Amino acid sequence: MKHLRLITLLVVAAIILTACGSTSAPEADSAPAANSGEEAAAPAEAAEDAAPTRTKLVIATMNLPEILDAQQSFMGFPLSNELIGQPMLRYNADAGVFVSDTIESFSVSEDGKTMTIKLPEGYKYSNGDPLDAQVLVDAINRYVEISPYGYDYDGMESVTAVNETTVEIFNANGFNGMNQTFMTTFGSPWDAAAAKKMGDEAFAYNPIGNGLFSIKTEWAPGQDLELVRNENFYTSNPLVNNQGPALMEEVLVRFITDGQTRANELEAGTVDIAYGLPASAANAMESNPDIQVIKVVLAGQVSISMNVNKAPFDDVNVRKALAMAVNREQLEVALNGSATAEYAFVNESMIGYDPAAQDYAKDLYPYDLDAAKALLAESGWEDTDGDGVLDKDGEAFSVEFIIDSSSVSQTDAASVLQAQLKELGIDMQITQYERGAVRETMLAGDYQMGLYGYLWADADILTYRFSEGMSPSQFFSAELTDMLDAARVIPDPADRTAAYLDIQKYLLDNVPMIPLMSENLYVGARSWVQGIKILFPDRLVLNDVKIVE
Amino acid sequence: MACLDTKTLKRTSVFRYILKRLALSIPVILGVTLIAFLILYLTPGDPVINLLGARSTLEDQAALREKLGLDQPVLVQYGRWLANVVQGDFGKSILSKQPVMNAISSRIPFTLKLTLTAFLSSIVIGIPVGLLAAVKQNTAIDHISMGFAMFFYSMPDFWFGLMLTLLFSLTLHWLPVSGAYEPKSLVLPALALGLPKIGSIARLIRAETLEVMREEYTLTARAKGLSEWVIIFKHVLRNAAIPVMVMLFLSLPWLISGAVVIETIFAWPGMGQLMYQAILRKDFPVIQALLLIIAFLTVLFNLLGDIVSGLLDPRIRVN
Repeated sequence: MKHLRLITLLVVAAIILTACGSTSAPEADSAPAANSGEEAAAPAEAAEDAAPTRTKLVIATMNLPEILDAQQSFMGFPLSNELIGQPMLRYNADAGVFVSDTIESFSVSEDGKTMTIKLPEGYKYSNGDPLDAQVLVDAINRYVEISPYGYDYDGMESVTAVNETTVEIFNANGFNGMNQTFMTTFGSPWDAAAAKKMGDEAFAYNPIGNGLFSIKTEWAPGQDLELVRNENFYTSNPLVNNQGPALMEEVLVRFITDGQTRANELEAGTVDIAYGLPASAANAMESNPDIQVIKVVLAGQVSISMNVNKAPFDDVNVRKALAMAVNREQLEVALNGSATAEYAFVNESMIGYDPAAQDYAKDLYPYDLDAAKALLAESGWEDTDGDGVLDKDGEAFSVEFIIDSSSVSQTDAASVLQAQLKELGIDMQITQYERGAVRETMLAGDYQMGLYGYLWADADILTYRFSEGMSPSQFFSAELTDMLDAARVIPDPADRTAAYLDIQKYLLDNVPMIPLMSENLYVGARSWVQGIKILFPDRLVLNDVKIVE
Repeated sequence: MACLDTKTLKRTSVFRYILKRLALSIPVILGVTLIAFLILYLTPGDPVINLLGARSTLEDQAALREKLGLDQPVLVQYGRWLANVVQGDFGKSILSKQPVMNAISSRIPFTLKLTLTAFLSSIVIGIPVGLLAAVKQNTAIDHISMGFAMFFYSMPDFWFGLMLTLLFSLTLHWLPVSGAYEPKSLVLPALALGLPKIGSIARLIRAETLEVMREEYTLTARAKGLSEWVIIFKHVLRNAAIPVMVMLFLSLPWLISGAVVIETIFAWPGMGQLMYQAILRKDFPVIQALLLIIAFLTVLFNLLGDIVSGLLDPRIRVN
């Protein structure tokens, strides 16, 4: 009997422990009804003026944040953070210019070194704290002081409050790099005074910002994020229709790291928007009238990087031959929508994009297996023993190809490339490493060939890719460095783009890396969600969003 | 008086046994954390390069490495970590720069809720099914239940997760796809985690029951005219349950680590999801803390399993 009692006690203890982990359920009317198979809601255009039928929006997003204060974070988590701390600037890709978002206006001096930011009078944070010029100065200084990306503001020599609503920033390097940060939640004017009052640890989880929404219920890591409309919200963003507070009263951000689970939630109708869908799910949803899918080409790209210091890639003919042997169209089809083929170094979602670079690359390196074989033969690579693998001086053309094991598109692409290069007579052995290890190995120059990927929305990323000590291909030169240094500080957008076109041509001529593909992002939403906008490069904004069921 | 002395002696020896087991568990836990620490640090991949991204300079990387203490020799780092852990400080996450326990503490209840539900459901379903199959040996009930048990045992938990979602969430709309809002959110992840365990328990209990049913004391009980159910519950189940109980207690930590995949599929905000993210981002302090917790639980449940076995079978206690 004693034993029975002990076992019963253990079971009861387990049940009590179980009960301790309970959490509050979302409001019953907060989530949309499950897909009942009824007729789809009217398309967004047709019902633009219709009154909202629900006040709470449910979003599933892929990034699981550990903290919400972007200034302390290593990771962007743009969606959850941007809803609380909205960027000061946006980029109008059609016009090729920066525009203001949560500030009244901004201007840059003719020499490109002084930026003047104007805030609206009586501007306030979501909690009612004033957001004046000095507060913005404090926020910028806080970023420099505590952010791991404080180096974004390298070159900033002074930031001063000229009067109550005007801030002047002097940056000896110009604002092309700094604007990138102002365009993200990292550079948002997070409430430095509140951070000081609350302490950085508390502020990390429940920060105060200027975003469309503010935190409704105290947030803890791992939990979903409940947001409420910020009645003090201000924007002058010409890219959105609604210049006032959000149309939705509340937002529930659900952090769902598994892509297929996000897709399932969207299909079930239990989330309104799924930010980041697997390409396979997005393709399957295209025929579903209840769901709208938006495709975005992510800024940045994945390239084949060749170590120019090691044979056989120290021979430019070999690099050119490989560029001609890669069939990107075939690769794009094989990847089934998860990536878009790229030919040049700056893609359409990056500032500095010029389609002329793509055309130049296509002319220079059309897919031509025979021409590629001829180039290799010029360099002495021929299949002398008839085993299907090229050889030179008795050595087979066999290379180790390193890739990031955590990237599905890279692992898929590597298999396709392996088959394509086999046709050329190259034996490619794929080795998978953790992302950091790939970068470490490449930067150390301890590899032959592999895939290198990055995400960044400005052509100035090339400065980092082709500088001494930071170049995965180990390719850099004084001429290139001069071109890169000059291009990144050119204030005029058209002149800057032209300078980066020259740089891309230079790189394509030397081809230390073969531009391969950009990854695609899919955003799915139920058809009852209206007013979804994706601003450059991949930012989902909710200013105009409402639900009409 | 003599009787009291014997009882006291027994209690003391049991107490000493538990203390000895606890003391022995310390080097085991330390060994696990040291090995994990070394493996994490010796595998290629620098968290600093991961964290700072594509635009960081070598100087930026070196500065951060120094700030995080990652420039120190591995054993020095381990020593520091251990010294802090002893004082109850698990350090700060590399990613969030916040105390590791902030990230873990809010997740522990969710993982316990999930794993204990899976654990209890595997007992509640697995034992009767196994018992029934043994009692009805070589009948259709036996074949069908063991067929299902074999199937549950063979299939991975993530496969169950996907299939259960497809059926109950997307087709029938009975249960939520993911999340942790309401009691019914727990059903699918707990089932996905528990089904393979139900299969193994049912198979084990059937085998043990059949063996015990052939023992002489069972035959004696039957000869004494006891009812079949009394024999099964009082004599057979009690003895057949011993290896099952041990297996169950030992499997609890496995359930917790197995929850890594299930928590990710069902967006369940537990330790498994955190572990998955921490491994992807090489957040060493978080990984170390989670490993320490899992190692501690393994040792603890191992000990509990031994104690429960001893309570069920006095011969084990004596030995």
